[in-house]
Amino acid sequence: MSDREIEFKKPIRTADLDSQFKNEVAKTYEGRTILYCYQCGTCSAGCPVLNALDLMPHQIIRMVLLGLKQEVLESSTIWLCASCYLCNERCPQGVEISNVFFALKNIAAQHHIIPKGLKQLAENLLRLGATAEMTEFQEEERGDLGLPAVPKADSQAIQEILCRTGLDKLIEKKNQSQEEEK
Amino acid sequence: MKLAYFLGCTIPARANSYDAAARQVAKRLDIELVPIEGATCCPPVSIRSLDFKSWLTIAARNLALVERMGLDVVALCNGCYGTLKDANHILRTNEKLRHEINSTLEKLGLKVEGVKEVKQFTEVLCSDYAKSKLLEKMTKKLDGLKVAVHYGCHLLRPSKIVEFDNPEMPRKIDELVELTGAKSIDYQEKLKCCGAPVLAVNERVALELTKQKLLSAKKAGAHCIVTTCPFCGIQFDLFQLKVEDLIKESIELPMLFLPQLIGLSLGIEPQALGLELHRVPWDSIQELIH
Repeated sequence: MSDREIEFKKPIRTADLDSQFKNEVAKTYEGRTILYCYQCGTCSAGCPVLNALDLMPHQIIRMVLLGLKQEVLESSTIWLCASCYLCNERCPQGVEISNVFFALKNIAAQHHIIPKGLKQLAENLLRLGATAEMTEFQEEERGDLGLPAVPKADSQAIQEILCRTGLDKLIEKKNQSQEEEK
Repeated sequence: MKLAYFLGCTIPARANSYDAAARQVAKRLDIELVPIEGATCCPPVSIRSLDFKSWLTIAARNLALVERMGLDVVALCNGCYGTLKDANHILRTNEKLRHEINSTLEKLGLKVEGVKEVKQFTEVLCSDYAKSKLLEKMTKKLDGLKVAVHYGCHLLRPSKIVEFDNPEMPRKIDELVELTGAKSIDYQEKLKCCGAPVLAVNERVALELTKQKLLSAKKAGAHCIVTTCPFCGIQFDLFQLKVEDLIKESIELPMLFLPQLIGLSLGIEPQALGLELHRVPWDSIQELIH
């Protein structure tokens, strides 16, 4: 046991911290409650995906407050959040953790970090006005069940909105960064 | 009763049996479901994860379409419900965001103030009106059927916005299920997430949550699992086959959408409720329906 190989953890250097990160999060609508956290860990205790996380939810919050921006944005924890809102419900300080995670994911996306599956959903939304696509098979199925045809989604309106809000460029950017990697 | 019917995109693409059963039950309750012309995807939390304003603006556009109809809106999907309910809350309480969103909607000839009420179909079914009507019309008893009720996260939380039931100890669906004569059983993982929201990011993690739910319900003696959300439903039905592959063990726990269970007690033909379309056969519970 005493001979085992020790892996030294990387020390946190104050010079590497981004002291403005917490304010960047706190000024967003979704992240506005983050500063109330007092590290009780209730969010992590009830989290349904805890066993799959590299960092626990309360650790993520603390790391934001410390300014460990890169580590937070690169953590898989924020994307594995199921948005089940159990942590919001139980937080004694009224921190809306699921919403804070939305804010963190928004910031990660601006830094070109977007899981493939979510990018696909956003592409569907842009193209079809729907995240899930209907096929002929389902149209037939609806007919067999005596269900009316589904009115076509107004995908043009969606495209106009998403061009204005910039979601189209947000997922394009990711394309560029992926190509650069190649 | 007349309600604007928000179908969303996952139900027509992947869970038509839920739509069929809901319409059958609504008809018997004299509830008219009016389609929303031009409605799009709600959009789901996966879009909220990428960009809050995109999520809010599209939701606001859907709400603006409903506002024009002058009706309350009812969603079948917990995901659509969560989005519309939360977006409606934000638009009604945050003037700055409402103003900003309206400046985009204006270009599309729309304006949003926030609708009076966003409902989930389950809320309608759990109302006193629906319950007394159902009791009148139920022709079949489901005595002996043990049901594991799964509420789905977004029907319960965040409770200060949703306000459907006690988020830690909900009873409304259990009570509705018990009107049919069936017994709602308690099981350890009852309030846990089904896994669906993680599916697009990591399937293995999603399956792990689904596995825990199904095995917990099965262990408690459930004959079926009943839910009110297409995402949860797909997770318990289609993905049950994947979980079985993963653990090399059969589970065979049929999934029913709540209106399908209610439909059976009303004597509606199983075919009209789309029960034949589910991947896990419901044969095992047929004999419990008299």
